[in-house]
Parts: sequence; structure tokens; C-alpha cells
Amino acid sequence: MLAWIEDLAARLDLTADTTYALQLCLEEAVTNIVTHAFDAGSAHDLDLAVWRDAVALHAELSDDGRPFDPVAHELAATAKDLASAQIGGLGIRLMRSFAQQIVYSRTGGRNRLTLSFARR
Amino acid sequence: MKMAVEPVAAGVVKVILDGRLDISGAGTIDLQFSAIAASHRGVLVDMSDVSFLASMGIRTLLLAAKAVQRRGGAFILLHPSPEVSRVLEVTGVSDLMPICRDNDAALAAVSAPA
Repeated sequence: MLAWIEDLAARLDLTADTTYALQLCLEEAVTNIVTHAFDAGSAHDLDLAVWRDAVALHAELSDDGRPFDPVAHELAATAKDLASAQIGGLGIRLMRSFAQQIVYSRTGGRNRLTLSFARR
Repeated sequence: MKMAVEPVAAGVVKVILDGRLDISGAGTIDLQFSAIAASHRGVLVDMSDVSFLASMGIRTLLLAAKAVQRRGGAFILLHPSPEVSRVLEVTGVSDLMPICRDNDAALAAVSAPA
């Protein structure tokens, strides 16, 4: 996926900031889908489409796993110290910060997650 | 992801990471990194050549930092790039462990007796 994104970044003339945000959000989104929506040991499919329009770059992930909505997912408060810091939940926080807009829907038995990035 | 380890003082090491600390990079270094954290009282992690940091890489850093701190030691990040710094700030990690941009100051801090 990494080589594909780098090739795409060159073809779509993305800035380094946008490329970083796209790579980060896709890694976090795919990790979450595989962890939370897919059953271990069973076959699933995951589609990815990336396109741009006049104002933004968009990436859409669609999968046939269990319903998982990272937009509605409630985030725990950030830890005050290392001893009490929880491992996990950071991916959604990163997606919310690095993408300008995240839209989730569940249709036809599929999760659909669209991440949008302002073009800079 | 490449990882080099340089002894600094008794029980203190500098770990130099080079590459992408993503799900694949974290998987590559996890075992060796946690072994170092479990066996040293001071760990300085040189992040200068880490070009990308995602949550699985943060997990590696957090688990190691917790292990070192539990034993009263120091775990310090050195020289993260601006992009990596933003990831550390957004996730709150920058409030949990010292991030140093001066090599000598970091070495002094990590080597100080607990």
C-alpha cells in the first residue's frame, strides 16, 4: 500500500504534508478495520479508492466486516502520566487530527469510511 | 526500519532508529526494543531518522517507556522531525515522556542517577 500511495502522491502532485496525512490516516483506518471489524482467520475484502476534486483529496475505504464506526467511537481522555497511559485508541485520535473530515456510513452490509484532506 | 544500539554509560544506551515506525517497522523492532527497555535504567531514543510514526510505533515507544519508568529509569526521545512531533503531540505522548532536541542535554538527563 505504501508504494501505491507514494506513486499516487507523485501523480496527484500532493504536498509532503498531505501525503503524510493520507499515509497516516490510511494506516490507522486499515489497522482499525482489521482489528475491530474482521474476524481472525476468515476471509474479508477491503476496497480503497482515492480521488481529488477542486477543494480536497478524498480516500474511501469499504469493507464487509462487522459494523465499526470510528467517527462515533468515544475517545478516552489523554493520560496524565506514563504509568496510567493506556495502550491503544490513538489511531482514531490521529485520524481526527490529520483528516479534515471523516464520514462513516453502513450500507448493504458494508462499512464505508471517507476521509477528506484539504489541498494545500 | 533499522535499529542501532550504542552504549552510553553503565546501564544506559542510545537507540538510533532509522526508517518508518509504522505497523511493519514496529513489528521489526518490537522484540529487541522491549528487551533493551527491560534491561537498562536509561534509554535515549534518537528519532532524527524516523520519517513516519503511526499508532503501532507509539505503542512500541509507550510500552518501553513504561517498563523503564516502572524501575525508576529515564526514557527520553531525541530530535523527532516536525511531522513526527505533531503525531507525538496529537496523541498526548509529548506530555508523557521528555522530548529533547539537544544531544548533550539528553545524554546528561538519561545518564543521571535515579
